[in-house]
Order: sequence, then structure tokens, then C-alpha cells
Amino acid sequence: MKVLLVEDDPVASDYLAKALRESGHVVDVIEDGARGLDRALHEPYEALIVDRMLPSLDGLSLIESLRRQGRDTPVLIVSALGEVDERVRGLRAGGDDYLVKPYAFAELLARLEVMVHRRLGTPPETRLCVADLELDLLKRTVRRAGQSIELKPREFLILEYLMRHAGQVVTRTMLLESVWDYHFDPQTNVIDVHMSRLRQKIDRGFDPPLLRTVRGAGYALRDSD
Amino acid sequence: MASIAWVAGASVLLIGAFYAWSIDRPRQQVDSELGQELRELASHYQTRGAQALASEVARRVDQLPAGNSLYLYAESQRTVVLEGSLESWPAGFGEGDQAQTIPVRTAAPHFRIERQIRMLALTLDDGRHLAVGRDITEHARFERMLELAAVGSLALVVLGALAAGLGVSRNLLGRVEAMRDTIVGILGGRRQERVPVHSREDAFDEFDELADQFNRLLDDNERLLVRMREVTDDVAHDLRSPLSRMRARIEAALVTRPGADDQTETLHAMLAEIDGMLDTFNALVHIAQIESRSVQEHMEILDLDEQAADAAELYQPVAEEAGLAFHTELAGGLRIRGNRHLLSQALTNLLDNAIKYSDEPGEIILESRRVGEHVEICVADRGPGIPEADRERVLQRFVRLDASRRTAGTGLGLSFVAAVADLHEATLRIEDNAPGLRVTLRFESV
Repeated sequence: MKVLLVEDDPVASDYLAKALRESGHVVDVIEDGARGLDRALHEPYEALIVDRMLPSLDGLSLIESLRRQGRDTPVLIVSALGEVDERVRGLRAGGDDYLVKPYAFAELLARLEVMVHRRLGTPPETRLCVADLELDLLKRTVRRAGQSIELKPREFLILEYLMRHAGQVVTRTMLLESVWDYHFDPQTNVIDVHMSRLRQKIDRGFDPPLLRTVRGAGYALRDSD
Repeated sequence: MASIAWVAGASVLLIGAFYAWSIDRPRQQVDSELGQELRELASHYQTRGAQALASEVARRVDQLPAGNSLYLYAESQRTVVLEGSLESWPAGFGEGDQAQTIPVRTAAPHFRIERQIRMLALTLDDGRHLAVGRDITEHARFERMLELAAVGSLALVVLGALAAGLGVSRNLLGRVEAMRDTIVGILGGRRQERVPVHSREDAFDEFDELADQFNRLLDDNERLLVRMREVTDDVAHDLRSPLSRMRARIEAALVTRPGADDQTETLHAMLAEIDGMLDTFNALVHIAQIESRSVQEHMEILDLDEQAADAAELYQPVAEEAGLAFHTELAGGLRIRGNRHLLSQALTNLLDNAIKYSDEPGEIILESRRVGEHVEICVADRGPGIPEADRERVLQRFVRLDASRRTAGTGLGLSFVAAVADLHEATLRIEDNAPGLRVTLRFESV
């Protein structure tokens, strides 16, 4: 996809642009807010990555201007300000997601892809399917290859999130945020335990395995590589 | 000094009023009695004649009781008295509307030496003079005594007020100087100095209260300073270890033959070290933010049990995987005022610790209950617990009781919980679960 990166720290933007290009994306880098807004208004991008603190026009004002002018390009805000209220402020200004610096590149990439995918819009569904795994949102039931699978309420929510983002990498932080509304990382890898239990239920005795661990990033639910 | 003037002024007014009441009034009464008696005698003369007046005067003189009245009937003011209590008209006594006080020296049996006589005189139609007097020697003496007392007491009051004022201001100055000396001392580096305070309860005044508050402020400052120094030391220590490890790894990587696997391994390890250091920094900053109360405005009414249930759902599988039974007993409907995110994090920190320090087979208990006006949430385990002597200390930053630091973590988990408890005005209790540890947070119920 084509991404505009608005970031005034040249070291950070060089590194990020390089990593994004290696992941197969096209990246333009702009170092100040006003020119960033100008570029975002005049060229079609699939996503924007905007730093909060920028010269000439700060990140939040940039996003507000963009939204006022009717552009709904998904925006990922990156910021050194990590408090929950800063996050809320960022999302209220029109950002789609908020990532606190310093972050792992895998986290940023996963969020970027999920964000863009979400924006492409999936019609309201009552049933989610990945291969022979089916999840019924109305009856709250899960079946694989026709067999009913019993899930606890949280496990159901985790699976729903994974299935909505099937084929994409979902990080532990994203799961904690969406399933528990926890905006902090617990000290131990609690999510891993939940994922291994979920895997026991949806993958054991079935082929192929659907729930994959993506090293250094998180998890992905996908049919095949 | 103004207060002294007030005291003196009030005293003058009071003493003046007392003087008027006790001296002026009796004197006016004597004067009016004299006037009345003189008019009586004059009308006696007018109706019965001069001879009758003389005998009436003589009669009254003879009838005098222990003698405080005096009568004179004379041809003129310089001649011998015709009839009366004295042989001659007193020098310097004339006629007038006003009574006069005249000193009279007399040998009369009931007048000793010199007496003070209040006298009033008039001239009759035949040119003779008539006078009536009252011995007011006792009065006059009493007046003098009163005057002396008034002046004396006024002087005493003024002197007393002056002395008291001086004493108070000397005392005030002394106290202020003591305070100033303390400040100068502290600025000069003697940070342990404190303002002296009267320990006796009856001597405890506003100045002692001020000094006491001032000392508490100093104590608080001192404690913060010490804590800051400790934290700085701890941060330095906690970051030096990962930095040394990274340095060693890089050095090793530089001297060994370059191989792709080795380098990737080194980079992964260093990434993990850096993440650990970032966790430490973030946790420190977060605790500092909570302590500085910058998140106060996000307090809301929330269901404590709901928060507990969420945390339990996150940690129950973790406990079970670690071979620990997980029991949840929530009272239901416990509502408090708090910050949802901070409370969740505090609860997960407690559960995380409980699991981390438990050995198989153990149990983790998460329970909530109502205790009168309060609600409590409690996390208990069957691990080694914390010796009573260390329970205060573990709330400090970076304190980990296992010296080997075999367990993961920043050593900031309980400090975070303590900061969150403080923000919520909750009490944090660390108790013996016999065996194990029981940590309880007690909130005001809403």
C-alpha cells in the first residue's frame, strides 16, 4: 500500500520508511505538519502515519484539518505521550489508532494493516468463516468441520477478533486492548496462555492448524501460508 | 504596641467613670444639703427676725451631734462671730453661689487640729452674714485616697501593659528568630535542623502550631529528598546491569568471527535487554505521574467486582497453567470512585506477583467484600509471604526480596499498587495469609 509518513525525527523516519519498504509498502516521508497536510490532501494514500509533535502544525491539528476537509484516510498516530487520556485525545481528533513510542516495528506493521483493512469496510456480518472454522455472532457458537466447539466468553471474543482480522498479524497488545480494554502490558505473557488454550480447542484434532504464532510479533489466524 | 494603647485608654475611661461616681456625686449632694439648710435659716430670719435666727443658730450649734455641721452668724466677714461654731469668720471665705472648701483650724472640743469644711454663705437683709458648713475632712481624705488609687492603678495598668507588650514582642521576635535560624541552618546544609516546639500541652500556642507545620513540611521535604536519592541510586544500579551485559555481548560479538546466526542472536538478546530497560523507565514515569496526581480528573464511579472479574478472566488460565488453583469470591455490587485503567493494572500486578511467587501446588484467591462503609478487594496466595519487617519496604521502588532476582519484573509492581492506592485514598494492607501473602486494598464505598 501507499503510505505517507509525517515524522520530523530523520533517524526514526529513515528506519521506519526502510522497514516499511522491506515489507512491500510504498512510503513517502514529510518532515513537517503543514506540508504533510498539503501532501495528504493532494495525493491518494491508503494510510497515514503521523507523529504527534511536528514543526509548523502538530499531528492532531493535521488530522483534524484532514477530517474537516472530508478525507477519511486511516491515520495511525505515533507519540511519546503514553497516557490513556492522550490516546483518547488522539482518537477523538480523528486518528484510527495510537501507538506509543518506542514501539516494536512488528507492532506498528500489524496495527497499520489491521487499520487499513478495517477501513476498507467489511459488511456487517453475523457469521465469520476461516477455512472450516465458523463463528456465529448471533447464536454465540463456534463450529469447526461441523463439530461444535465450547468456548469461554473471553475465548469467544479473542477468536472473534482474530477472525475479523483473518490473515493479518494480531499482536498481544492489540488483543489486550480489544478484548480486555487494557492499555498496558502485564508483566508476564498472559496472552500466550490464552492463545494456547484457544489453539487446543480449535486446532487439536483438525487439519490444517489455523492459529499461527508469528515470531516476534504475535498471532495470525490463516488458512495457509 | 497598639494593644497597649487600647488597654491604657480603656483603663482611663473606666477609672474616670469610677472617679465621677465615687467623688463628684457625694460632693454635689453635700452642696445641695448646704443650700437647703441655708435657705431654711434665711426663711427663719424673715419670718421671726434676727433674734430668733441667732437663737436658732445657737440651738443648732448646741445640738450638734458628733459634729459634722457648722454654723456661723456674724456682723461682717471680718468681725467676731455673733453666734456659731467658730469664734471668727474663716479667712478667705466669701459669699457666692458656690460652696467652698475651707481649711479650718479649731480648738472646739470635737474639731481636732485642721478640718476641711465645705461652706456656703449668704448675706441677710440687715447686712449680717450667715454660713452653713459641713465637715468633709473624711470625705476629702477618702477623695485623696481614691485619687491616689486611681492614678496608681492607671500607672500600674499602663506599666503592666507595656511590660506585657514588651514581653510578648520579645517572645515573638525570639520565635521568629528561631525559625529564621533554622532556615538559615537548612540552607547552609544542616538539613536535620528543626524549629523548636514546646512539647508541653499547656504551653503549646499558635507559634508552636506554625513551627510544627513548618517542621512537618521540612520532614516531608527531607523524606522526598532521601527517596529521590535512593531512587536515583536504584535506577542507576538497575540500568547498569543490563548495560554491562549488553556491552559484554557486543564486545564478544566484535572479537568472534562474524557469523550471521551469532549476530542475530546477539541482536535479539540486546533487544530484549532494551525492552526490559524501557519497561523500567515507563513504570517509573507512570508511578511518578500517579504520585503527581496528573490523572485525577479521570476518576469515575465503577464496579469494583467487574474490574476484578476481568482481571480474573485474564489470570485464571495463567494460574492453572502454573499448577495453582484459582478461587474468585466476589461480593457483587461493590461500587467505588476510581480510575478504571489504573485499578485494572494494580489488580493485574497483584495477581501477577501472587502467581510469580507461588509454588505448585498452591492457590490464588481473589475476593471482594463490603466492610461497613468500605469495600475491600484482596489477592492472596500460598507462597513464601513477606516477613513483617519487610512489609513496609517492599512498597518502595525496586525492592525485590529475593536477592538473586531470579524472578522477572521491574521491582516496581507493588510501588505501582501503593501509588494507585494512594491516589484512590485507599489503604493498602500487606498481611500474613498463614502461609502466604495477603494484599488488601480498602476503598471508600460510594
